[in-house]
Order: sequence, then structure tokens, then C-alpha cells
Amino acid sequence: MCYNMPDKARPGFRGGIRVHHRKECRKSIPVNASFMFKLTKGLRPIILLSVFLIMTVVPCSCGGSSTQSFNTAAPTQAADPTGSESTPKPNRFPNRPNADQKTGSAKELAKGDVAPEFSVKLIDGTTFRMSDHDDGVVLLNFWATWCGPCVKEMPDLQKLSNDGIAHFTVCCLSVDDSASDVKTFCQKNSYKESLFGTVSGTAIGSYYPSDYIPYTLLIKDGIVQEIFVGSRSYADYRKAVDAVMGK
Amino acid sequence: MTSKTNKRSRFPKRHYVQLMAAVLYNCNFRGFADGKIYKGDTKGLCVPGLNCYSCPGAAASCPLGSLQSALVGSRYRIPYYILGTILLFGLFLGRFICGFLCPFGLIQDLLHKIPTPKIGKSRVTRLLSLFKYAVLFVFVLIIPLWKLAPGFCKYICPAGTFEAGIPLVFKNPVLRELTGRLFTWKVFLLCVILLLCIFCFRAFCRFVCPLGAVYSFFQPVAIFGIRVYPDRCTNCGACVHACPMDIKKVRDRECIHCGQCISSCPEGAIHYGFKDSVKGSLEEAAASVLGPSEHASAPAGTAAASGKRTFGSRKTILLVVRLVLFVLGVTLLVAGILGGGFRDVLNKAIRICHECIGIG
Repeated sequence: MCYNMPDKARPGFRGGIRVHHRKECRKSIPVNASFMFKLTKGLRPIILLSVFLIMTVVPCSCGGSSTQSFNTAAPTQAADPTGSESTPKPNRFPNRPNADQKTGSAKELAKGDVAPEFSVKLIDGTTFRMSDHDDGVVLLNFWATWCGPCVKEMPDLQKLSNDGIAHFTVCCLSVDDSASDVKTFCQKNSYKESLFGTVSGTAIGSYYPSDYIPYTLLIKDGIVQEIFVGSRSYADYRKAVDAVMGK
Repeated sequence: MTSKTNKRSRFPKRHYVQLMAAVLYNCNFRGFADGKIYKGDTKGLCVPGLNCYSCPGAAASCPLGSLQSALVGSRYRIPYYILGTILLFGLFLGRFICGFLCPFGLIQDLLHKIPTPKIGKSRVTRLLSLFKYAVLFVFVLIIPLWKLAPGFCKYICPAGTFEAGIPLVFKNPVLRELTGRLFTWKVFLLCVILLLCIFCFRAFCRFVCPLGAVYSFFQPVAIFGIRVYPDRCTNCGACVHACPMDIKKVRDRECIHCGQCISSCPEGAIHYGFKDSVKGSLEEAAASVLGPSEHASAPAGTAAASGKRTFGSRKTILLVVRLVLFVLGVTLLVAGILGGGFRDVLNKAIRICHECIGIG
């Protein structure tokens, strides 16, 4: 009963600093806890986790319902038949996966695979359709405004586009949630808006799946020829393009 | 001597809570086998502790990683959502999160159990504990805003290297090709920190962790955590002596609410609780809110003798501060969700910039 003892008689007393004799005192100290303390005794880990879950589930239910995950979103704004500058060509590949109609398998792409069909409205208002470039070469780049390596390689992609290579197109699709962010990015850096679009609100991301950005594909005649994960220099891209075009 | 003594009021199984939190944060077990990250909607949420969202098992996002990514993109939108989340976590729990809800804290605790000679706390370690504020300022605020890179995640975070970098590089040949100096540096830093944690209790939390630095600002107003009965406190110093962290008093900026002091207190004056039912703890907290000039360095027990009027006004101030912070946090959170903050965090967590997590 150390609480009724004078200081010097207490177990563990050492010159001014009283060191608690744990087991004895734990047994001897009477209970005098608040109502809340008694109520939560033994349930505290569960209560703690419940608080955490409530704090996390509430924003999920509020924001999650309107959220369209990069991989699972419905193609709400992808197709724009009225504003399209080109009419769809007859499909060269009968079983080609289509991100707009969400048909075909959405699997991780490898060299030699058919590039899934999609159409996307670019920042300048025009529409980019993958099948329109089945007789040319496309450099399809997935990036984000907040991704350092992606932003770093943008001047190189611009330069590549400005080289004026025949039957060659650069298309940079941002994974940013907002198209206005991409537009601001283009305006701030004086990039050509005709090269940029966003996959937000489309199913393109699930048909071109990758855990990482920048993610770049070199597609010739509708077939994936090269896949780059991570940023590359202008020389690397130019070399790959020349090799694919047979120069 | 008061007869009002406190029975053992300690969280009985802290490591179990830590383990539960770690499992809850990283419940995508399939990801570890596949080497693929989880891409569900829960990635738009933040967990309270330091847990890399690029970890293959992570089912939610890291608040610090999300904050840095949000700051990188802050020229396009202000990160209300993530700021509100961190504010509410801090307001409700403070550094209790470091003690109970951080998976990397658990790793450090377990490493410190390895029986070796230990480095004790001293004035030097107390001084070094200020280093984390420099890390917070430079790597979490300046570099993301100025250099447009998540500085802490990219150059320092050992949790990211341990939970995400190494498993992803191990499972993905594509990423293996991308590794270079940056990855070597991060693995080296991880080894140094883990080694240090064997000899020094929570070396990373004490000296480096910027998330702990953020939560430490909320310590005076945190709603849940360690409390002291001032009428029982005799200012013997046993709690400070027993504490493995660099505290000067219970529940100061370095306190992680681990509960070591509870069993060391000969008077049973320390306990966990929500309620500032005792004058002294309110007194201390209110003094911290009011500023260092009014901070009472006297023992908590003497605070009980202070005037009832002063106590009442300080109690009111603390309540007002808490209320203001709560309203601010909820407002930021709601504004963030309505402004697309949730989707923003989600987008950044399901497509990884490899360099941003130190693979480069």
C-alpha cells in the first residue's frame, strides 16, 4: 500500500525521485476513473479504429460516389461525334479493344499488341481518334502536371512534334483529374494545345494500364512497337521513332 | 496526499494496436504477391500515420505524400482536402498517432527491442529533435513548391523505400532498369536509419519525421491523449525520467503518448483520456495556446491553486481554439471534397511517378 506510506518507506524510493514499484502499486491503487474512462475501458482500440473508419468512410461516401477512378471510369466525355474532325474508319482489327464502348479486354499492353481504340477531346477542342492513325506512327504519352519527370520531358516531346516527321503524331494524355489544369499548364509553358488531352472521365486509363508515369507507347499501324516506362531524352525518342519508321 | 489515485490507466497492448493499424493500412495482400499497387477508391483517403501509398499493400494514401503531391500541384488548385484531413487528425489525436497508429513506428519499436547497448536521451538528442522541423520546412514545403518534386518522398522517406521502393523494384523488372544513384542513396539511408533505431529509441520519429513535426503543433489542443491529474502530481520527475522520448514534461511536443510514464508515476497521476477534467492539464494546454510567456513551468499541482477566474477564462480559450480548429478542419475537408480533392489524391495515388518515390 505504497500510497499510505511516507516517502522513504515506499518501495523504490531513491533520494528525491520516487520510483514506482509497479506491480504492487497497480494492485493497491483504487479505481477512481471518470465515467468516460470506465465506459471505454477495454474497448479503446476498437473505439479508436472506429473513429478512424468514420473519418475515412465519410469523405469516401461523399466524394467516392462522384469519383471515377482512372481505371474504372465510364466514357462520359470521350466520344464527341459532332465535334469530331474525322469520321471513324472501318476497323482494321475486328477484335480491337475499344475504350469508348468498353469492349474487348483491358489488359496490360506488350509489344506487338493492338493499340486499343479510343477517342479523346484535346485541349484545343479537336478530337484525337486512335484508329485515324492506323496508317501512321503515334507516340502516346501518359503524364501528369504534378509529375516531375513527366514535365521535364515535355519540351523534348514538343521538339519531336515540331520536327515535322511525315505520318507521325504525338499525343500527350494527362492523368490529371481536371482538363483546366492541363490547359493552364499548356498556357504557362506555351505548349501546343493540340498535343494535349486528359483521360479524366474516360475509360482510356483502363485500356492502357500502367502503375507508373510517364508511360509512353510508340504505335505503328495500330500495333504497339515500343513501351517506355520513365522519362527519356529527345535523342532516345527520336532514335526509336526513326527505327520504327525504318529510316 | 490525495486518496484519489488512478488505477493502471494505460493502453494495455500498444503494439497490438500498432499492428492492427499497419494491417488495416496495408490490407491489399495480393499486391505484395503481384508487385502491383491497389487502385480502388479508398486510395483517395488518407491514413493518419506514415504509410507509403505506393506500397503494393496500401489501401489508402499517406498524408505526407499526398500533401507534397498536392503542393507540387498547388499552382493549379489549393489542397484544401488534404490540409483539412491533417488538421482534423492532429486536432483529435496529436502525436498519439505516432505512438499508436504509425506502421513505421512499430518497426522502430521492434528494432529497439533487439538487446544491444542503447543510446540514452540527452541535451544533444533534445537539440537534434529540432532537426525534423527543418526537414518539414525544406523537404515538405520548399522543395515541392519551388522545385516541383515531393522532396521528402524522393530523397529521404525510409518508409517509402522499405514499404514501396524495395518490394516494387524486386517484383518489377521494368523498375529495376530505372534504378540508379537515387535508389542507392535511399536504400543506404534506410539502412542507416534502421541501424540507428536498434541503438536509439525511435531515431527516425525523434529526429527526422516531418509528419510527427506537423502533429506536434497540435499537442496542446489534441482532444485525446495523455492527461495528468495535477492534484496528485508531486513533480517528482519520474515520468520524464522514464520517458524514452526527449520530453521536458508530459504531453509536450515530443510526447508520443506511448504510456511509459503511466506505470512509472508513483502517484498514479497520469492516464489516457478525452476530457480535460482537471485544472492543471487545461492550464498547461491553455498556456501553450496563449504563448510561451504565459506558459507555466511550475508543477502541474501548483496550477490547481491558481485563481478560479483565470482557470475559467483559459478553459474557455482552449475550447474556443478547439472549436475554431474543428470548424476550420471540417470546412477545409468539405471544400476539398467538393473541389475534387478526393479525386485528386486518388489520381496521384494510383499512378506513381517512379522518381517521386525514389526509384531513379
